Amino acid sequence: MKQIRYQEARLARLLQNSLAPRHPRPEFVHSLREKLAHLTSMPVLIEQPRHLARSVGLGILGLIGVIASAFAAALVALRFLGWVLKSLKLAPQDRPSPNVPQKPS
Amino acid sequence: MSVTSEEVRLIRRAKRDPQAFGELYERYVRKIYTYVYYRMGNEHDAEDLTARVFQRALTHIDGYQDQGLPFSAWLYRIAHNLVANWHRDHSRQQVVGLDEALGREAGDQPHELAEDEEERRVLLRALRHLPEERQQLLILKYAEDLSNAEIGEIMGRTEGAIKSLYHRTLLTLRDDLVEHVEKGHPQDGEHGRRVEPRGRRSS
Repeated sequence: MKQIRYQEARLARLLQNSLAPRHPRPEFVHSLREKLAHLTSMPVLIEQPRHLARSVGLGILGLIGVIASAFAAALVALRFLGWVLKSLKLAPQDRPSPNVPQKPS
Repeated sequence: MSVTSEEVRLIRRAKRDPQAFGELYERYVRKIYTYVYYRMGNEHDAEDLTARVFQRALTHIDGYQDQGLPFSAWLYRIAHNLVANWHRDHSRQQVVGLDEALGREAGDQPHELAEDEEERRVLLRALRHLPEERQQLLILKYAEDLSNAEIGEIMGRTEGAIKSLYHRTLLTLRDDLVEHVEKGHPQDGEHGRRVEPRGRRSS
């Protein structure tokens, strides 16, 4: 038991010596700081291009849908209006063409 | 390492102010680098993954929710996941820069020093073959100098569970080293040699 404890303690000491804190290169720390600062200035454009593209795509599709719906609704409304006017006889009637006397041959 | 009100305020500020995120970066970049370094075994990959940890933290800080844990716990978790993904993606072979990990060149040294270096090299190699969770525990304990309670906060376990896992890990390490000695140093080779990771993941 004593020997096991001794071995464990020795192993712990060895780990302590082997796993010393590491220091990153100052150039790396500096360049990453700059990179992060750049990302924070326009995070959406740089970090989320896919999300952005998807949002824009969905927006355009939505807009096309709205315009198509409005156009279809306008057509239906015009037809309906034409039918109502026709029913109320307010719409201009087709007049018969005046009889033009034929010249004798 | 409990979360301070000052840190809570800083995190809140960092959600809308890049300057505040810069302060968090300065505070933790060395700790995260050390952790990633010992998980990866070389400077190049450690820098690459450290950069990814902070980029991910920056893009996800809006969704960060204070649960009473230190901010570093969140960063360590990101680092742990990225390292695990890296090893999964590169699972066929990995280069282990052991000399770099030892912090000095293996050259002409007095006999005792060379023996020490050899012992540490073997130990680090054995460490990197442990399951991920155990590697994390040892690095946090020795490289980051955290207590069992603090490690428990980061790893989402109780202090008792960490203590128990630590002892089991020491026993495993000891057995690995004994096995290494009994086999007569079969795996020692040139620097940066390639080894097959065992891929043990469970504890």
